[in-house]
Amino acid sequence: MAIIELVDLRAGYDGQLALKGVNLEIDQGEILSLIGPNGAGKTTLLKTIGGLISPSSGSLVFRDTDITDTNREILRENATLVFQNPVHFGTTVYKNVAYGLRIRGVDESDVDKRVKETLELLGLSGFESRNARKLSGGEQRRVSLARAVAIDSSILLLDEPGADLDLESKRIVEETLRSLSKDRGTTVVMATHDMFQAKTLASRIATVQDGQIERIGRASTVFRLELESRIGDHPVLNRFRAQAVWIESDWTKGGHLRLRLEGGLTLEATGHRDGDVTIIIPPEDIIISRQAVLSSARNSLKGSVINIEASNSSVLLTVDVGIELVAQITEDSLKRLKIEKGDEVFVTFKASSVTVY
Amino acid sequence: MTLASEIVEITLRSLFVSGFAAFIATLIGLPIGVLVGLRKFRGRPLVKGVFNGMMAMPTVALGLILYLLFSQTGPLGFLQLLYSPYAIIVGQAILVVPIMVSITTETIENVDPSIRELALTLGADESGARAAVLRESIGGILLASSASFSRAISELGVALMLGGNIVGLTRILTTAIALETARGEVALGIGLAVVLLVVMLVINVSLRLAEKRVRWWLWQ
Amino acid sequence: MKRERKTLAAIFVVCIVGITTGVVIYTGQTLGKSLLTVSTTTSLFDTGVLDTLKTEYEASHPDIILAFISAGTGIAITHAKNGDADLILVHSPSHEKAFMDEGFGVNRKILAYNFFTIVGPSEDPANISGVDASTALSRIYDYGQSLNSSIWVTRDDNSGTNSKEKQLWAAAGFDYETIKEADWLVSSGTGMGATLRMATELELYTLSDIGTYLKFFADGLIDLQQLVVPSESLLNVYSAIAVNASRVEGARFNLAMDFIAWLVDSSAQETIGNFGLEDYGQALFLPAVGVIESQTSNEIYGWIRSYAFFDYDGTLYECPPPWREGDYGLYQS
Repeated sequence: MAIIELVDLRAGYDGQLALKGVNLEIDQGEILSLIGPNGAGKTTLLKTIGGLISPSSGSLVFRDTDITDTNREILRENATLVFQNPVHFGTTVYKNVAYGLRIRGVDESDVDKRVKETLELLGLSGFESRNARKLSGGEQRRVSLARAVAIDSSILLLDEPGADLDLESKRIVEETLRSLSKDRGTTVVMATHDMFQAKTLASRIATVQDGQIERIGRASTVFRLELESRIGDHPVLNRFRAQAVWIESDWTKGGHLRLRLEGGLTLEATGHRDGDVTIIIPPEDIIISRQAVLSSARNSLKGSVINIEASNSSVLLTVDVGIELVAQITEDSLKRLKIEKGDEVFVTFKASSVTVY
Repeated sequence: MTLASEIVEITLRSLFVSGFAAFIATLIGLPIGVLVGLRKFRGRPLVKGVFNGMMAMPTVALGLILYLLFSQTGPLGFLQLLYSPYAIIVGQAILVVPIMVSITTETIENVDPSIRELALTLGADESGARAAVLRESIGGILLASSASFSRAISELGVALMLGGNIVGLTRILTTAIALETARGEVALGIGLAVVLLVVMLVINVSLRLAEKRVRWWLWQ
Repeated sequence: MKRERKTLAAIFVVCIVGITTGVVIYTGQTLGKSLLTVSTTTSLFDTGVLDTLKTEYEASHPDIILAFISAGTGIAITHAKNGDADLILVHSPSHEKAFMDEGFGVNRKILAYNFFTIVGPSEDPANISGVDASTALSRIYDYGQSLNSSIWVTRDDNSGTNSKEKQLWAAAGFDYETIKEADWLVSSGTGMGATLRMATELELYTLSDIGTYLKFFADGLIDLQQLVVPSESLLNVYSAIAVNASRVEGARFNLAMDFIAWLVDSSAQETIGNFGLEDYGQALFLPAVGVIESQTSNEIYGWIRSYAFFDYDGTLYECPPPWREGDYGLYQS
């Protein structure tokens, strides 16, 4: 379920639009990563979601309520932005972290409890009475995060949370974000330059280019595409051309796609497209089995192994199922399944694993 | 009256007169400065420019204008303020209000704009965000007050024209310095100037020392 | 949190208490007392004689506060015209006459006199030692013309002293406005003290009132000698004039007349005559009341009469009859 929905949203400062028609649905509890170059509009997007910038056109839906024109304060109450450069009130760490709670009129004893918990979570116990502005860079970033975490907002917006972090702080920040998303169902949206951080933390990645969402999809896929477009001639695995047909169906509310590939092969994917498309199937999303398996995954194909290539700790299998699909499995799995070149295997992957663009 | 007790008396009177003036200037100038600093309105550069320019008001000219107002035959003569400490207080307050406003405005404008957004994103409403910005400006506001006080206590023109340098009633440090200098009592003149400087140093250093504490206090 | 709010409140309270204390003290100082405002010239005020008189007067009149406001002669008189003074103490007969002619002042009383003096470097390059003022100025003029470098400093500020200087140059046969352009004349544009110090630094001659000169000389601030002999043309006469209450609203005429009567009295006259004797070895002011009352045909009385008395219907008066208000026994004729 989408907690926030942006439809053709335009926003900016001083009449200069930084967002030029953004369509974005953010799901409750997901970690969404925004990647893109400086000036692409990531920060503006975060501030708009956080209710700090008013959209100039388009609509903004929060929990199924259109709040474009009214009651946008609800965003400031429910979403908290952690700024790129650490900004603190000129006071102690404790008072900085307690600020949001006190604003909300939380009981002093509860404030104390929450602040201490949060500081502990972020490895800041003992820093209570320190001047927030006189801490190291990593500690300051953790204070920034602690301030937001203490409030327990449903949406956490982070602007470059990984920038210039020492390893220890980075580990703490990432662990915190994971546990917030997993345990508290906090929705996390983070803008980052760091594609690897985006990939390890996020469930989805959206690339932002010139004020618009360029592509959005599963983290691994978008990561791969991004990597490809950055590396240039480096080949992307499992990329194919296909004809897409949208089908109304009962197993997914928004309908699904039937993809017809060269050679008559048919695959299923999620989304809402028609016509010529390019698809990518992430090798790590493909399951290899000796026998056909009954599973929830919509795509299951039979083929023969035509190549086995070992890289560091994993193995890439190329399977001919009419098209040549590359699957990534562990060395251990390879041994367990006793797969050799020429063997017949089944490949299985979910419709949602297929990125269509 | 001995010389020492006279110097003490003059010093205390200076502190009273200029302290009162700075207090009034703070009461008037702080809200104006806060308003100009926080609100964006048309003609704001003009307002700021006027207050900045008014800081250059020559004290003698202000003293003369106010003298004409407070004079028995002037429009405010009925108040019977001329040649009383209150005339000096009013004059000095008018003199330093532009300083109070200008420094306050400048300080508030120089607060990191992110502070406002930080307060907002943490759930503060507009007035809460303004309060946060003001708390960050406390150092500058203290500076504005102390600069106003310093300007008031060190000015001569207004005190001379409106107070008349009357022994025991309106003689303050600067008018006493001017008088002793004219009388050729150079040593006494310099001595009084030293007293003025020492008093101001003590006050300003303690204010600076207190600043951090005040900022700390302002955070509930 | 409460403690901190309390601290802020405490700072505020301290301010209020301080201000209130000041107000209470000032009110206590002035409550039940009348303020008698005397507008006077700086050269008289700066000698300190008025402080001595104030102490004595307030001691015998505990319900009066004497407030001296000092400014240049012109502004001092303007204060009185504006109703901001009850009495003027000045030393410029021409200004005084105009003031009374316009109806602002009544009951003029000459209190004291002394002599201006021409002072200069002890080497005395223009050789004016022991001569009278006119001769001295002629010699300075000649010497200056021949020298073509600075020799005389003038205040050029329309003060009483400056007025006197103009008269002296005119009496010696020179036009002040013309010689002001000469290279040997410097304009200081400032007070007497500063002008005397300038004269010391640059080794110049100048005209000075005796009070400022003696004070600065005794304090070692200047190194100039009195060079000319006292003469009629150097006479300086101080008078008190009460502000006319029927012309200027709010003027405290009765208080002013009480003070004038006290100044005329022999004990105040004695105080004036003794002022500075101890410190400078020379009196700064000479009492005038006795001299005028005795009407002795001595030289000084004649000088005062011709310099500071006003002509009315062909007779010279200290204060012509139309400008007398009430009977305070101040005048014999």
